[in-house]
Amino acid sequence: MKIFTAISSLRTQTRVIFLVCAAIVTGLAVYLYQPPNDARHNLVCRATLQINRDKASFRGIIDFKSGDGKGIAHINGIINVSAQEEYTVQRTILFTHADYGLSPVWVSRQIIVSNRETAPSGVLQQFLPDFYLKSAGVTDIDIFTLNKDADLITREGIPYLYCQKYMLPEDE
Amino acid sequence: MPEADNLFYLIENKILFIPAKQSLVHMDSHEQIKLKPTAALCLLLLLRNHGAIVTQNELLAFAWGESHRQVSFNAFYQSILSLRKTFAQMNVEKQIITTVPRKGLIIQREISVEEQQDPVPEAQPEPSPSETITESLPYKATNDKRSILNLTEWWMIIATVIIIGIIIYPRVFNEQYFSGYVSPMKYDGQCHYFFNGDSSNHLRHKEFIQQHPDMCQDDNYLYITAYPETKNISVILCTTSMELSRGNSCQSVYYPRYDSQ
Repeated sequence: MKIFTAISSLRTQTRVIFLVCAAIVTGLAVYLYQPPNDARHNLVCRATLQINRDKASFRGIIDFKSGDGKGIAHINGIINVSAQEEYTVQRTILFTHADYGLSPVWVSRQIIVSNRETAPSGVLQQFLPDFYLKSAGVTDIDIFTLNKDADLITREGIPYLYCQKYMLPEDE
Repeated sequence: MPEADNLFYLIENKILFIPAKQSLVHMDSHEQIKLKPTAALCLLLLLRNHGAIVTQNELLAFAWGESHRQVSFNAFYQSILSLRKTFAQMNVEKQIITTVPRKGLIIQREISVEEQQDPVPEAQPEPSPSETITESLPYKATNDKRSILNLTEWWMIIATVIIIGIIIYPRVFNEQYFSGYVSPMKYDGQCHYFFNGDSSNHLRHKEFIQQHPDMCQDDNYLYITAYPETKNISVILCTTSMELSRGNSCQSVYYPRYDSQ
Protein backbone atom coordinates (compact mmCIF):
# COMPACT_ATOMS: atom_id res chain seq x y z
CA MET A 1 0.00 0.00 0.00
CA LYS A 2 2.86 2.31 0.76
CA ILE A 3 4.14 2.07 -2.79
CA PHE A 4 0.74 3.13 -4.14
CA THR A 5 0.75 6.08 -1.78
CA ALA A 6 4.22 6.99 -2.95
CA ILE A 7 3.20 6.72 -6.61
CA SER A 8 0.08 8.78 -6.10
CA SER A 9 2.11 11.47 -4.39
CA LEU A 10 4.41 11.91 -7.41
CA ARG A 11 3.85 14.98 -9.49
CA THR A 12 2.54 14.66 -13.04
CA GLN A 13 5.90 15.39 -14.66
CA THR A 14 7.54 12.58 -12.69
CA ARG A 15 4.82 10.15 -13.73
CA VAL A 16 5.17 11.15 -17.38
CA ILE A 17 8.96 10.73 -17.26
CA PHE A 18 8.56 7.34 -15.57
CA LEU A 19 6.10 6.17 -18.23
CA VAL A 20 8.33 7.43 -21.08
CA CYS A 21 11.41 5.72 -19.60
CA ALA A 22 9.50 2.48 -19.02
CA ALA A 23 8.12 2.59 -22.57
CA ILE A 24 11.60 3.16 -24.08
CA VAL A 25 13.20 0.33 -22.09
CA THR A 26 10.32 -2.08 -22.76
CA GLY A 27 10.18 -1.23 -26.47
CA LEU A 28 13.93 -1.64 -26.86
CA ALA A 29 13.98 -4.95 -24.98
CA VAL A 30 11.09 -6.34 -27.02
CA TYR A 31 12.66 -5.15 -30.27
CA LEU A 32 16.08 -6.59 -29.57
CA TYR A 33 15.14 -9.79 -27.80
CA GLN A 34 12.08 -10.89 -29.68
CA PRO A 35 12.08 -14.63 -30.34
CA PRO A 36 13.74 -15.70 -33.57
CA ASN A 37 10.40 -16.94 -34.90
CA ASP A 38 11.82 -20.35 -35.70
CA ALA A 39 13.74 -18.73 -38.54
CA ARG A 40 17.19 -19.77 -37.40
CA HIS A 41 18.05 -21.44 -40.68
CA ASN A 42 15.74 -19.52 -42.94
CA LEU A 43 17.48 -17.79 -45.77
CA VAL A 44 16.61 -15.24 -48.39
CA CYS A 45 19.93 -14.25 -49.81
CA ARG A 46 22.16 -14.13 -52.84
CA ALA A 47 25.87 -14.83 -53.16
CA THR A 48 28.45 -14.39 -55.86
CA LEU A 49 30.73 -17.38 -55.87
CA GLN A 50 33.92 -18.26 -57.61
CA ILE A 51 35.28 -21.79 -57.34
CA ASN A 52 38.77 -22.35 -58.65
CA ARG A 53 40.14 -25.78 -59.30
CA ASP A 54 43.38 -26.31 -61.15
CA LYS A 55 43.21 -23.96 -64.13
CA ALA A 56 39.43 -24.11 -64.40
CA SER A 57 36.92 -21.96 -62.60
CA PHE A 58 33.25 -21.52 -61.95
CA ARG A 59 31.85 -18.02 -61.58
CA GLY A 60 28.24 -17.52 -60.78
CA ILE A 61 25.41 -16.43 -58.57
CA ILE A 62 23.64 -18.66 -56.09
CA ASP A 63 20.30 -17.55 -54.77
CA PHE A 64 18.67 -19.16 -51.73
CA LYS A 65 15.12 -18.88 -50.52
CA SER A 66 14.16 -21.18 -47.69
CA GLY A 67 11.59 -21.35 -44.93
CA ASP A 68 9.17 -23.78 -43.28
CA GLY A 69 11.49 -26.70 -43.93
CA LYS A 70 11.69 -26.16 -47.68
CA GLY A 71 13.91 -24.17 -49.94
CA ILE A 72 14.93 -23.34 -53.46
CA ALA A 73 18.42 -22.67 -54.70
CA HIS A 74 19.03 -21.12 -58.10
CA ILE A 75 22.47 -21.41 -59.53
CA ASN A 76 23.50 -19.45 -62.56
CA GLY A 77 27.05 -19.23 -63.78
CA ILE A 78 29.82 -20.06 -66.20
CA ILE A 79 32.51 -22.70 -66.08
CA ASN A 80 35.76 -21.88 -67.83
CA VAL A 81 37.84 -24.96 -68.38
CA SER A 82 40.12 -23.26 -70.86
CA ALA A 83 40.02 -20.19 -73.08
CA GLN A 84 38.12 -22.16 -75.71
CA GLU A 85 36.05 -24.34 -73.42
CA GLU A 86 33.25 -22.53 -71.64
CA TYR A 87 29.97 -23.89 -70.28
CA THR A 88 26.81 -22.39 -68.88
CA VAL A 89 25.34 -23.63 -65.62
CA GLN A 90 21.72 -22.80 -64.93
CA ARG A 91 19.63 -24.96 -62.66
CA THR A 92 17.20 -24.90 -59.77
CA ILE A 93 17.38 -27.18 -56.78
CA LEU A 94 14.31 -27.85 -54.66
CA PHE A 95 15.41 -28.99 -51.26
CA THR A 96 14.19 -29.65 -47.76
CA HIS A 97 16.01 -28.49 -44.70
CA ALA A 98 15.88 -29.58 -41.11
CA ASP A 99 17.90 -29.18 -37.95
CA TYR A 100 19.88 -32.14 -36.74
CA GLY A 101 20.98 -30.97 -33.33
CA LEU A 102 22.43 -27.57 -33.94
CA SER A 103 23.36 -28.23 -37.57
CA PRO A 104 21.20 -27.70 -40.61
CA VAL A 105 20.75 -30.62 -42.96
CA TRP A 106 19.75 -29.89 -46.53
CA VAL A 107 18.54 -32.62 -48.84
CA SER A 108 17.97 -31.83 -52.50
CA ARG A 109 14.70 -33.39 -53.70
CA GLN A 110 14.48 -32.25 -57.29
CA ILE A 111 16.92 -30.74 -59.76
CA ILE A 112 15.43 -28.68 -62.56
CA VAL A 113 18.03 -28.14 -65.25
CA SER A 114 17.47 -25.24 -67.59
CA ASN A 115 17.64 -25.90 -71.30
CA ARG A 116 20.33 -23.21 -71.46
CA GLU A 117 22.70 -25.27 -69.38
CA THR A 118 25.56 -26.68 -71.41
CA ALA A 119 27.93 -28.01 -68.80
CA PRO A 120 28.54 -31.76 -68.95
CA SER A 121 28.06 -33.60 -65.68
CA GLY A 122 31.71 -34.62 -65.53
CA VAL A 123 32.78 -30.97 -65.51
CA LEU A 124 30.07 -29.95 -63.06
CA GLN A 125 31.17 -32.58 -60.57
CA GLN A 126 34.55 -30.90 -60.28
CA PHE A 127 32.99 -27.70 -59.01
CA LEU A 128 29.62 -28.30 -57.45
CA PRO A 129 28.77 -30.65 -54.60
CA ASP A 130 26.36 -33.51 -55.19
CA PHE A 131 23.65 -31.44 -53.56
CA TYR A 132 23.40 -29.36 -56.75
CA LEU A 133 23.70 -32.33 -59.10
CA LYS A 134 21.44 -35.09 -57.82
CA SER A 135 19.18 -35.95 -54.94
CA ALA A 136 21.66 -35.85 -52.09
CA GLY A 137 22.09 -34.47 -48.64
CA VAL A 138 24.53 -31.91 -47.40
CA THR A 139 25.37 -31.94 -43.72
CA ASP A 140 28.65 -30.10 -43.48
CA ILE A 141 27.23 -26.59 -43.64
CA ASP A 142 26.56 -24.01 -40.98
CA ILE A 143 24.81 -20.70 -41.26
CA PHE A 144 26.05 -17.67 -39.34
CA THR A 145 24.36 -14.32 -39.19
CA LEU A 146 27.07 -11.75 -39.81
CA ASN A 147 24.83 -8.72 -39.52
CA LYS A 148 21.37 -7.65 -40.54
CA ASP A 149 22.46 -7.54 -44.19
CA ALA A 150 24.39 -10.76 -44.63
CA ASP A 151 24.64 -14.42 -43.65
CA LEU A 152 27.67 -16.61 -43.96
CA ILE A 153 27.36 -20.22 -45.08
CA THR A 154 30.35 -22.30 -44.15
CA ARG A 155 31.20 -25.66 -45.62
CA GLU A 156 33.66 -28.12 -44.18
CA GLY A 157 34.29 -25.61 -41.44
CA ILE A 158 35.45 -22.73 -43.60
CA PRO A 159 33.54 -19.85 -45.22
CA TYR A 160 31.87 -20.89 -48.44
CA LEU A 161 29.30 -18.25 -49.29
CA TYR A 162 28.92 -14.67 -48.18
CA CYS A 163 25.19 -14.41 -48.73
CA GLN A 164 23.71 -10.94 -49.06
CA LYS A 165 20.16 -10.78 -47.71
CA TYR A 166 17.38 -9.13 -49.67
CA MET A 167 13.70 -8.51 -49.20
CA LEU A 168 11.07 -10.52 -50.97
CA PRO A 169 8.21 -8.46 -52.41
CA GLU A 170 5.76 -9.59 -49.70
CA ASP A 171 8.27 -8.63 -46.96
CA GLU A 172 8.69 -5.07 -48.15
CA MET B 1 -1.61 38.76 4.96
CA PRO B 2 0.41 41.75 6.09
CA GLU B 3 1.15 40.28 9.51
CA ALA B 4 2.54 37.18 7.88
CA ASP B 5 4.81 38.90 5.42
CA ASN B 6 8.00 38.37 7.41
CA LEU B 7 7.38 34.81 8.50
CA PHE B 8 8.13 31.49 6.84
CA TYR B 9 7.24 28.05 8.09
CA LEU B 10 9.46 25.04 7.55
CA ILE B 11 7.25 21.96 7.79
CA GLU B 12 8.88 18.58 8.46
CA ASN B 13 12.22 20.10 7.36
CA LYS B 14 10.99 19.51 3.85
CA ILE B 15 8.37 22.00 2.82
CA LEU B 16 8.66 25.74 3.14
CA PHE B 17 5.40 27.68 3.42
CA ILE B 18 5.72 31.28 2.28
CA PRO B 19 2.59 33.11 3.48
CA ALA B 20 3.39 36.24 1.49
CA LYS B 21 3.50 34.25 -1.72
CA GLN B 22 0.84 31.79 -0.66
CA SER B 23 3.19 29.10 -1.87
CA LEU B 24 4.74 25.85 -0.75
CA VAL B 25 8.32 25.10 -1.80
CA HIS B 26 9.93 21.68 -1.64
CA MET B 27 13.41 21.98 -0.15
CA ASP B 28 14.98 19.19 -2.22
CA SER B 29 13.34 19.40 -5.58
CA HIS B 30 12.73 23.17 -5.38
CA GLU B 31 9.28 22.50 -6.69
CA GLN B 32 7.00 25.41 -5.88
CA ILE B 33 3.24 25.19 -5.76
CA LYS B 34 0.98 28.17 -5.49
CA LEU B 35 -1.96 27.69 -3.11
CA LYS B 36 -5.43 29.08 -3.38
CA PRO B 37 -5.68 32.20 -1.17
CA THR B 38 -8.24 30.63 1.17
CA ALA B 39 -6.24 27.40 1.44
CA ALA B 40 -3.08 29.39 2.21
CA LEU B 41 -4.89 31.34 4.94
CA CYS B 42 -6.28 28.15 6.47
CA LEU B 43 -2.77 26.67 6.52
CA LEU B 44 -1.37 29.85 8.04
CA LEU B 45 -3.90 29.79 10.87
CA LEU B 46 -3.26 26.11 11.52
CA LEU B 47 0.49 26.71 11.62
CA ARG B 48 0.10 29.64 14.00
CA ASN B 49 -1.88 27.34 16.25
CA HIS B 50 0.49 24.43 15.86
CA GLY B 51 -0.56 21.63 18.20
CA ALA B 52 -3.95 23.18 18.96
CA ILE B 53 -7.33 22.48 17.47
CA VAL B 54 -8.71 25.21 15.24
CA THR B 55 -12.44 25.13 14.73
CA GLN B 56 -14.11 25.29 11.36
CA ASN B 57 -15.65 28.66 12.23
CA GLU B 58 -12.28 30.13 13.14
CA LEU B 59 -10.81 28.92 9.87
CA LEU B 60 -13.76 30.23 7.87
CA ALA B 61 -13.59 33.60 9.54
CA PHE B 62 -9.85 33.88 9.04
CA ALA B 63 -9.77 32.72 5.44
CA TRP B 64 -12.97 34.13 4.02
CA GLY B 65 -13.34 37.18 6.27
CA GLU B 66 -16.69 38.87 6.59
CA SER B 67 -18.27 36.75 3.90
CA HIS B 68 -17.52 33.51 5.70
CA ARG B 69 -21.17 32.95 6.66
CA GLN B 70 -22.06 32.51 3.00
CA VAL B 71 -19.33 29.93 2.46
CA SER B 72 -20.60 26.41 1.96
CA PHE B 73 -19.10 23.47 3.77
CA ASN B 74 -18.14 22.04 0.41
CA ALA B 75 -16.00 25.09 -0.47
CA PHE B 76 -14.26 24.85 2.89
CA TYR B 77 -13.75 21.12 2.46
CA GLN B 78 -12.31 21.65 -1.04
CA SER B 79 -9.74 24.12 0.32
CA ILE B 80 -8.55 21.69 2.99
CA LEU B 81 -8.55 18.84 0.46
CA SER B 82 -6.45 20.87 -1.96
CA LEU B 83 -3.95 21.48 0.87
CA ARG B 84 -3.72 17.78 1.62
CA LYS B 85 -3.29 16.93 -2.06
CA THR B 86 -0.54 19.52 -2.39
CA PHE B 87 1.39 17.99 0.52
CA ALA B 88 0.97 14.53 -1.01
CA GLN B 89 2.14 15.84 -4.36
CA MET B 90 5.27 17.12 -2.65
CA ASN B 91 6.06 13.66 -1.27
CA VAL B 92 5.09 14.39 2.32
CA GLU B 93 4.05 11.01 3.65
CA LYS B 94 2.77 12.15 7.01
CA GLN B 95 -0.67 13.63 7.28
CA ILE B 96 0.01 17.28 8.04
CA ILE B 97 -3.57 18.37 8.67
CA THR B 98 -5.61 16.11 10.89
CA THR B 99 -9.37 16.26 11.30
CA VAL B 100 -10.65 16.08 14.88
CA PRO B 101 -14.27 14.96 14.53
CA ARG B 102 -16.85 17.54 15.65
CA LYS B 103 -14.10 19.89 16.82
CA GLY B 104 -12.02 21.09 13.93
CA LEU B 105 -8.61 20.70 12.38
CA ILE B 106 -5.14 20.48 13.86
CA ILE B 107 -1.50 20.25 12.87
CA GLN B 108 -0.29 17.74 15.43
CA ARG B 109 2.66 18.40 17.73
CA GLU B 110 4.44 15.46 16.11
CA ILE B 111 4.61 17.42 12.88
CA SER B 112 7.74 19.51 13.00
CA VAL B 113 7.07 23.18 12.24
CA GLU B 114 9.82 25.75 12.40
CA GLU B 115 9.20 29.44 12.10
CA GLN B 116 11.69 31.51 10.15
CA GLN B 117 12.01 35.27 10.13
CA ASP B 118 12.39 37.14 6.88
CA PRO B 119 15.89 38.66 6.89
CA VAL B 120 15.13 41.23 4.19
CA PRO B 121 14.44 44.75 5.46
CA GLU B 122 11.23 46.27 4.19
CA ALA B 123 12.96 49.44 3.11
CA GLN B 124 14.72 47.65 0.30
CA PRO B 125 13.43 48.39 -3.18
CA GLU B 126 10.88 45.90 -4.35
CA PRO B 127 12.48 43.45 -6.75
CA SER B 128 10.67 41.75 -9.55
CA PRO B 129 8.36 38.89 -8.50
CA SER B 130 10.77 36.17 -9.48
CA GLU B 131 13.57 37.73 -7.50
CA THR B 132 11.52 38.34 -4.39
CA ILE B 133 11.70 34.74 -3.31
CA THR B 134 15.36 34.39 -4.12
CA GLU B 135 16.50 37.32 -2.06
CA SER B 136 14.19 37.03 0.86
CA LEU B 137 14.83 33.41 1.72
CA PRO B 138 17.88 31.94 3.35
CA TYR B 139 17.35 28.57 1.71
CA LYS B 140 18.64 27.37 -1.59
CA ALA B 141 15.19 25.94 -2.13
CA THR B 142 14.11 29.41 -3.02
CA ASN B 143 16.75 29.81 -5.69
CA ASP B 144 14.93 30.90 -8.80
CA LYS B 145 17.32 28.99 -11.10
CA ARG B 146 15.59 25.75 -10.20
CA SER B 147 16.25 22.63 -12.13
CA ILE B 148 13.41 21.56 -14.37
CA LEU B 149 13.86 17.99 -13.15
CA ASN B 150 13.87 16.89 -9.54
CA LEU B 151 16.16 14.27 -8.04
CA THR B 152 13.75 11.38 -8.61
CA GLU B 153 13.36 12.30 -12.27
CA TRP B 154 17.12 12.55 -12.75
CA TRP B 155 17.51 9.09 -11.23
CA MET B 156 14.83 7.70 -13.54
CA ILE B 157 16.59 9.11 -16.61
CA ILE B 158 20.04 7.92 -15.47
CA ALA B 159 18.67 4.45 -14.68
CA THR B 160 17.01 4.32 -18.11
CA VAL B 161 20.25 5.24 -19.86
CA ILE B 162 22.16 2.57 -17.88
CA ILE B 163 19.54 -0.09 -18.68
CA ILE B 164 19.61 0.85 -22.38
CA GLY B 165 23.40 0.54 -22.31
CA ILE B 166 23.19 -2.89 -20.68
CA ILE B 167 20.65 -4.04 -23.28
CA ILE B 168 22.50 -2.69 -26.30
CA TYR B 169 26.10 -3.54 -25.27
CA PRO B 170 26.00 -7.28 -26.05
CA ARG B 171 24.36 -6.53 -29.39
CA VAL B 172 26.95 -4.00 -30.45
CA PHE B 173 30.02 -5.78 -29.15
CA ASN B 174 29.01 -9.37 -29.71
CA GLU B 175 31.48 -11.80 -31.21
CA GLN B 176 31.07 -12.24 -34.94
CA TYR B 177 32.38 -14.97 -37.17
CA PHE B 178 35.24 -12.82 -38.45
CA SER B 179 36.10 -11.16 -35.14
CA GLY B 180 38.72 -13.86 -34.54
CA TYR B 181 40.56 -12.98 -37.73
CA VAL B 182 43.91 -11.26 -37.43
CA SER B 183 45.61 -8.78 -39.67
CA PRO B 184 49.22 -9.96 -39.80
CA MET B 185 50.41 -7.77 -42.61
CA LYS B 186 50.99 -4.07 -42.60
CA TYR B 187 48.62 -2.21 -44.86
CA ASP B 188 50.50 -1.48 -48.07
CA GLY B 189 47.94 0.81 -49.63
CA GLN B 190 46.53 -1.92 -51.84
CA CYS B 191 44.31 -4.07 -49.64
CA HIS B 192 43.72 -5.31 -46.10
CA TYR B 193 44.48 -8.96 -45.30
CA PHE B 194 42.85 -10.92 -42.51
CA PHE B 195 43.76 -14.53 -41.61
CA ASN B 196 41.77 -16.91 -39.47
CA GLY B 197 43.37 -16.70 -36.05
CA ASP B 198 42.71 -20.32 -35.09
CA SER B 199 45.17 -21.72 -37.63
CA SER B 200 48.40 -23.09 -36.17
CA ASN B 201 50.40 -21.08 -38.70
CA HIS B 202 49.79 -18.75 -41.62
CA LEU B 203 52.20 -20.22 -44.17
CA ARG B 204 49.46 -21.23 -46.58
CA HIS B 205 47.85 -17.82 -46.28
CA LYS B 206 51.11 -16.08 -47.15
CA GLU B 207 51.80 -18.48 -49.99
CA PHE B 208 48.35 -17.78 -51.35
CA ILE B 209 48.90 -14.02 -51.23
CA GLN B 210 52.19 -14.33 -53.08
CA GLN B 211 50.55 -16.39 -55.82
CA HIS B 212 47.50 -14.13 -56.17
CA PRO B 213 48.64 -10.50 -56.06
CA ASP B 214 45.80 -9.67 -58.47
CA MET B 215 43.27 -10.10 -55.66
CA CYS B 216 44.83 -7.32 -53.66
CA GLN B 217 43.56 -4.15 -55.26
CA ASP B 218 41.07 -1.32 -54.93
CA ASP B 219 41.65 -1.00 -51.17
CA ASN B 220 39.53 -4.13 -50.58
CA TYR B 221 39.40 -6.47 -47.60
CA LEU B 222 40.49 -10.11 -47.96
CA TYR B 223 39.42 -12.62 -45.32
CA ILE B 224 41.49 -15.73 -45.99
CA THR B 225 40.65 -18.99 -44.25
CA ALA B 226 43.06 -21.90 -44.48
CA TYR B 227 44.47 -24.61 -42.26
CA PRO B 228 47.72 -26.56 -42.71
CA GLU B 229 45.73 -29.75 -42.19
CA THR B 230 43.26 -29.22 -45.05
CA LYS B 231 43.47 -28.72 -48.79
CA ASN B 232 40.75 -26.14 -49.27
CA ILE B 233 41.10 -22.38 -48.98
CA SER B 234 38.38 -19.79 -48.73
CA VAL B 235 38.69 -16.14 -49.55
CA ILE B 236 35.94 -13.63 -48.86
CA LEU B 237 36.71 -10.52 -50.86
CA CYS B 238 34.89 -7.43 -49.57
CA THR B 239 34.70 -3.77 -50.42
CA THR B 240 34.87 -2.79 -46.76
CA SER B 241 35.45 -4.24 -43.31
CA MET B 242 33.17 -7.00 -42.00
CA GLU B 243 32.46 -4.85 -38.95
CA LEU B 244 30.50 -2.50 -41.17
CA SER B 245 27.26 -3.94 -42.44
CA ARG B 246 26.11 -1.03 -44.55
CA GLY B 247 27.44 -0.75 -48.05
CA ASN B 248 29.55 -3.88 -47.86
CA SER B 249 29.66 -6.17 -50.85
CA CYS B 250 31.58 -9.42 -50.80
CA GLN B 251 32.50 -12.13 -53.24
CA SER B 252 33.18 -15.69 -52.14
CA VAL B 253 36.16 -17.41 -53.70
CA TYR B 254 36.61 -21.07 -52.90
CA TYR B 255 39.46 -23.44 -53.71
CA PRO B 256 38.43 -27.06 -53.05
CA ARG B 257 42.01 -28.35 -53.52
CA TYR B 258 44.39 -25.45 -53.45
CA ASP B 259 47.56 -27.54 -53.30
CA SER B 260 46.75 -29.11 -56.63
CA GLN B 261 47.37 -25.83 -58.42
